[in-house]
Amino acid sequence: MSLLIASFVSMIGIFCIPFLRKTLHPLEILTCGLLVASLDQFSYAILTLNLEFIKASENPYEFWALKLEQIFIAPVLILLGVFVFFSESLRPLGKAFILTGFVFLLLAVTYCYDRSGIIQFVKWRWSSEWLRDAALLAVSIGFLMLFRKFLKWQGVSRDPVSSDSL
Amino acid sequence: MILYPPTRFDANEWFILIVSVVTWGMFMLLPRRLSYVSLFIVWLFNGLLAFTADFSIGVKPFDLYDFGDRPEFEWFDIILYLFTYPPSQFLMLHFYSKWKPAGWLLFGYLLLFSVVTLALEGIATYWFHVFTYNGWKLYYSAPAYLVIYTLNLFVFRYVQRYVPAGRKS
Repeated sequence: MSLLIASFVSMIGIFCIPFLRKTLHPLEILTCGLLVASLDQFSYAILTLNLEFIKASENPYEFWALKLEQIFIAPVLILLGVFVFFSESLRPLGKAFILTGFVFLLLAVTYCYDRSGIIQFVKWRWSSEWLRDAALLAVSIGFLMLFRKFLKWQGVSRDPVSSDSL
Repeated sequence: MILYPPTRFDANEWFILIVSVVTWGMFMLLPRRLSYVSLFIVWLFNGLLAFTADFSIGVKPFDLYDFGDRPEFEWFDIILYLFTYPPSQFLMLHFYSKWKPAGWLLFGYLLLFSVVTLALEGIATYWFHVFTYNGWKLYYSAPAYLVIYTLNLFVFRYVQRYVPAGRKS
């Protein structure tokens, strides 16, 4: 059941990706998605395997549900946060509120996994999880600011597909 | 500990370091054909693939193989993901952009790279103990490499759509 729900939410997330092109370049979306999925899995591997702060279910279906969260759900939520950050139509205060909201949304996803028994916090706290989510979002924003400059330096400054066509 | 050092600096660590230096060296000696944007994205993509594969089927509940000296996450695992795996993809893409094989020739080209990588995995496993199989078989990796090379090719082609002509191969 958890795998079905995670697959459904992941599919919704994937369908949201074209919408991000109104603010982000396709290569920015791809790169940021790859980075977040890697960092999320990296931090999770350290928390479960090395530090044993979080215990994960050993049920294979629940394990794949967790993987979907790390590969699709969390990266799409963070990309939506990045989208808000780079959006030109929002004021700074509005952006700050929405970004905080996204961090809580990430926390809510983790809460769902915790409630369904897929993960179990052993020596990990919700405040630490909030900080981890906020750090992931902050790193993504920082990375994308640099990556945008890198793309510009490489002459990749424009999305050839007009955002009006989306 | 956040990341563990190797229990003993022996054959598997030397193998990872030497293969990384040799493959990066080979790639650096070739005339540059790939844009920095492509290289960076392909490098990141392979990092993600390695993390995803090793932290899916290499850990419980599947735990089909171990890598490195211990079951936990080590410093050398990061070197393996970020420096040992990507150059083989860079080499494949370099010669792909040079020769532009298509159809069955492309399939044969990807198959050739998969076989060479499979042989390297065999050497890494049986001679240098970089991997320890707990139910995994070497021949399971053959289709996996074919899929990985194909995915890299898709990512490369996608990135090239946005790279200006002057920066392309």
